[in-house]
Amino acid sequence: MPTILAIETSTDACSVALYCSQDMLISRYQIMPRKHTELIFPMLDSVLHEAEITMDKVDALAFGRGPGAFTGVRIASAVIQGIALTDQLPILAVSSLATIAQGIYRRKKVSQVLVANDARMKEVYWGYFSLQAGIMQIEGEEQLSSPDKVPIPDGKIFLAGSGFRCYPEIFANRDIPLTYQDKEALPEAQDIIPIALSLWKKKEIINIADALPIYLRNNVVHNNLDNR
Amino acid sequence: MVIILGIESSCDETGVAIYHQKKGLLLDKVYSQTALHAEYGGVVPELASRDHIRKLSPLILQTLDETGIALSELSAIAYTTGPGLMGALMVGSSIAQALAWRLGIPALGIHHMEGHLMAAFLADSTLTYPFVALLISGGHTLLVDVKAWRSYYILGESLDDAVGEAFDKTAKLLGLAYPGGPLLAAKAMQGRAGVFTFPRPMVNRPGLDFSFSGLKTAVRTAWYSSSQSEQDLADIAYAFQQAVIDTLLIKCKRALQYTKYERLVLAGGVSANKKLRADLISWAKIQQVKVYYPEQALCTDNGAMIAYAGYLQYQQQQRQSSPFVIKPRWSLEDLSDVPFRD
Repeated sequence: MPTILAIETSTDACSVALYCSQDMLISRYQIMPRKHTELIFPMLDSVLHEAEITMDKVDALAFGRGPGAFTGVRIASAVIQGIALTDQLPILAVSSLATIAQGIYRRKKVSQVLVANDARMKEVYWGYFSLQAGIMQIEGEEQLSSPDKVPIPDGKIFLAGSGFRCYPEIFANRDIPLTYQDKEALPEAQDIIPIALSLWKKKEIINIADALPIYLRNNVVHNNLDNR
Repeated sequence: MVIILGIESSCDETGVAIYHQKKGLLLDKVYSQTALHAEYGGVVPELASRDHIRKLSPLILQTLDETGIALSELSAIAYTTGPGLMGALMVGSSIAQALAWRLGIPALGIHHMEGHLMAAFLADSTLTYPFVALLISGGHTLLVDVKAWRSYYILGESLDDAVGEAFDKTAKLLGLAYPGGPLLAAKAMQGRAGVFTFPRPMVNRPGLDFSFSGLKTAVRTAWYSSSQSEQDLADIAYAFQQAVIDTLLIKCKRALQYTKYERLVLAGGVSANKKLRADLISWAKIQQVKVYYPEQALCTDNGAMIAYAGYLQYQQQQRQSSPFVIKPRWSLEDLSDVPFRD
């Protein structure tokens, strides 16, 4: 198995993880809005130091490619690009929504998760994930839509993400037990690792030029011009 | 051997360059986003950030490849910390900081306007301190007293539109495409002197500050009361450009009188304006002032000026990595060690 260094900065949380072996996963995680740049390199130094390895021993880099805060996803993507420039290391791009679902699986052992994150402008980023061989896989596609367009499937489904906190009307007419909700769930780099390992096995590896964020929201022009 | 990689991403130009202690500037690569923003009539910040992150790393690899410099040979990475667009600065800073972290070398955060100032030395090594600098671009209009390295004092600045902004906005109101500044200057070449006359803003007031927004209003009035023919357009463009140039020259003269310096450095994208250069040269002869202006590639935003400013900082033994914090708003005076006021 490869040694993988992972970064996730698409939300208010900043996290890094270093996977060395099945028995050795080291991670750092902190919720600190707008302080990602100050946290990221001390966190990277700290996981490498704890593992007693240098960057030369790292085989691949993984990052949370969004969707999420534009500046946040660009920090993860740009930092990974910058690190990869030296050795042209293989890169694994992991969905930030899938990472949340994977984290829910780690903590709650559930197999169906609907993730919806607040995307501002009265919209949410959302995706429906189900467990296959220990990995949370997207059903269909990740989407950006108004909260009322998010379908809540029948059966036992876990709801995760800030979208359910910001838009409680999404599931207002459904009786979802509190134990099947986590409205504060955020993506953590340690949960990137299992997904990154599966991408590695499938050889779904990208190079620096393709290590780019997935924004989902592409209509950004009028918004920006109006705000000037 | 000191070798610095420079990265610029503060607005709509992605720039990468390498400065070599012995060989000077090795390569200066700039990717311009102008076409991307043209259909919106101005720089769209989010689109700028998205383009920087697509272009910057490939441009770095290309620059290394074409110069034959290995990353392991670099002494430091210099990058623009500010001022500029937040998201755009963040892309350059993130890649620069990460590359420097991986290589175990300093990441030197550079003030974009200091880059423009120092570009004058890249263009002409005979330049010496002290000098007055006129920095004119789409985002800035500054008259600076440059006493020495990191001893910069702002003598005057625009209270409203920057010069380049005034050119672009005026071009827009005359119906020219974006970016209209250079088109307006081209139209002015066909214009006749004396047909229209516009005020020289703020020249009757003491001080060295500028104001260009009133000029726009004067142009609008003239344009709508004209027959709006091609010749009217050219004549108005001529009169507008001349009003701006005269204003800049009057303020430069005052700045030189005030500082008693004999050298004037012209920098920033608008300093590529041909009429401005021509007028400045004949004016400088009469005033007995030596004028320095970098070639066009070094006037507009580029990585070379950042690499060179980083080189100077490195040579001053300031080699600790800058904090990974961008500064979208950042005064040039903050770089000066000793506060200066009189």
